[in-house]
Amino acid sequence: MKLVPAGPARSPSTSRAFVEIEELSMEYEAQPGTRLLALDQVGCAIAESDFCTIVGPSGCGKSTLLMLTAGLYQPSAGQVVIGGAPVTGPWDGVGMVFQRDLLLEWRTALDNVLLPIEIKKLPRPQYEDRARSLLRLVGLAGFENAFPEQLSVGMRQRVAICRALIHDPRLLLMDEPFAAVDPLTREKLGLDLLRLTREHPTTVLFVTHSVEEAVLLSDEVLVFGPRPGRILRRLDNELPKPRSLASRSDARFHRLVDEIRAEFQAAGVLS
Amino acid sequence: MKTLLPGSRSRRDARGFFRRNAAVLLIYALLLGAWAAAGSLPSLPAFVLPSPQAILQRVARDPVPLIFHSLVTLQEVVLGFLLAVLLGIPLGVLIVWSRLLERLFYPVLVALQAIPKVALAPILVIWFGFGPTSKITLAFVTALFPIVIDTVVGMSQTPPEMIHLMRSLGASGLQIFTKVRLIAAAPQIFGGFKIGITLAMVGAVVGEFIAANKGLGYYLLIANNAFDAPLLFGIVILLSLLSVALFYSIELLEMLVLPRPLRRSAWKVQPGAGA
Repeated sequence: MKLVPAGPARSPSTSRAFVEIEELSMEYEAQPGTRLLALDQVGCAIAESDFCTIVGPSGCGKSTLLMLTAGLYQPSAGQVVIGGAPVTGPWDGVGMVFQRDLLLEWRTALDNVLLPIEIKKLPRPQYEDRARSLLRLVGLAGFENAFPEQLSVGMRQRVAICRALIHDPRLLLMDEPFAAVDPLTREKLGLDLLRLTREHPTTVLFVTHSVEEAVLLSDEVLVFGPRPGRILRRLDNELPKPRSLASRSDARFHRLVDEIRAEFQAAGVLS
Repeated sequence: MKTLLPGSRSRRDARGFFRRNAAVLLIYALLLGAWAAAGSLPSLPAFVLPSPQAILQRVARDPVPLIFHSLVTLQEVVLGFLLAVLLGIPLGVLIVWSRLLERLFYPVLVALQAIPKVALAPILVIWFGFGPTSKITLAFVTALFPIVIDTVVGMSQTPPEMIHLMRSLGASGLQIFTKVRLIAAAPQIFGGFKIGITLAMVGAVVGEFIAANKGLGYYLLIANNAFDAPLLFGIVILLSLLSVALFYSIELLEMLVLPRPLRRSAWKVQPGAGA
């Protein structure tokens, strides 16, 4: 619960966090007869406009947490509360980005960005300017009418991020969005994302495998342990903003990265 | 075919076409030459292998019945195929939609496909008579399977994350279907059409073989009974040319209907994705 310098003025007296995850458990039937505990009584709270990264090993239920937050799955126990209201199904105000960009090949970049507007039956002309300005913000001015096949992997993922932000969501859920991108483009994309969320403030829940990425982008880091998924530790990220590639040489960056790695080591994730 | 489409530079393109395909054209010409030479060998009876010139002469002498029977067969093929499209796509959609319907229809469909269509033909003649209806039905039955299967495969290709994304935006099942799944399946469905229409041709001709008084299959039997080898060969070649024409008209339709980026495949595999 801390103030983001570039964020809009918010009353500091709000006692409840924007996203509250309460004793959340999720059990799957992986195969008939074998039940798999993906999340085990996870609890945390995320303040409005916070950039929260979730870092953890593969299969620790990070993605499941995002699905539950979006209301796409029903939890086995516990609940997700958004702005005071429990999530019971898909709710208005969610933007999602996945590892695959999931662009529709037959739509131009602009039309892909406007897909949520079409689905929500909002007036398109009103949002077209916003779509163009989002694309401009991620450096895709002039590519509005390009088809996805004409764009590089990094450019495609930028379009996907614009699509997730077009309807001004209150919560942006990102599931390893840069995992398919080469390392150099990856950092650039991360910093572009920070610039976007500065211009269009929204709460972000960002899942990643990369400890460095989790530290570079976040206000706070949730460290997840191996299955069944649970939060090992919650860390505030005091790395100064705005972040840049130079942030990586900051001593605080390395301290936080080391701290997270030590946490994984203690949990037996790294050996 | 594609190289001839842009009209303004068609002459240069035509020249380019010949240059690019010189080897293929040469081989075809050589084969045709060898056939002409073999066909005019005195030791080889004309009813075993008539020469290309003999076939051409025979066809040119009396083209009207050929045209008439072609039109009959074409009509049966096209109607059977359209019926297969009209029923096949909704059937494929239903199979993807519901587990119950999948379990209900899929085994029946596979069982139907496993029956040799020749075995089905006499039954259909009993049911629908000697007229075109039994041939249309046979063309429909043969074309149905690939269209249903390709609809199912194409619709199943939509990644689960895409469905999650759509649902998170509040999309209804119908919106997911019309805005994503059906369009993404279109290249695959057109693939099913291409196989389907050539199979419809096989179905119609088989039907005409069993019992008919018109159509190319019927005319083929007439030529056979009359030991008219040049006509027999002429009809076989005509059947093949008609199939090729039908196949490419589907391809042309595909080019006209599908937006350019969809002409290969809908979901591109990205490096590292899905790992």
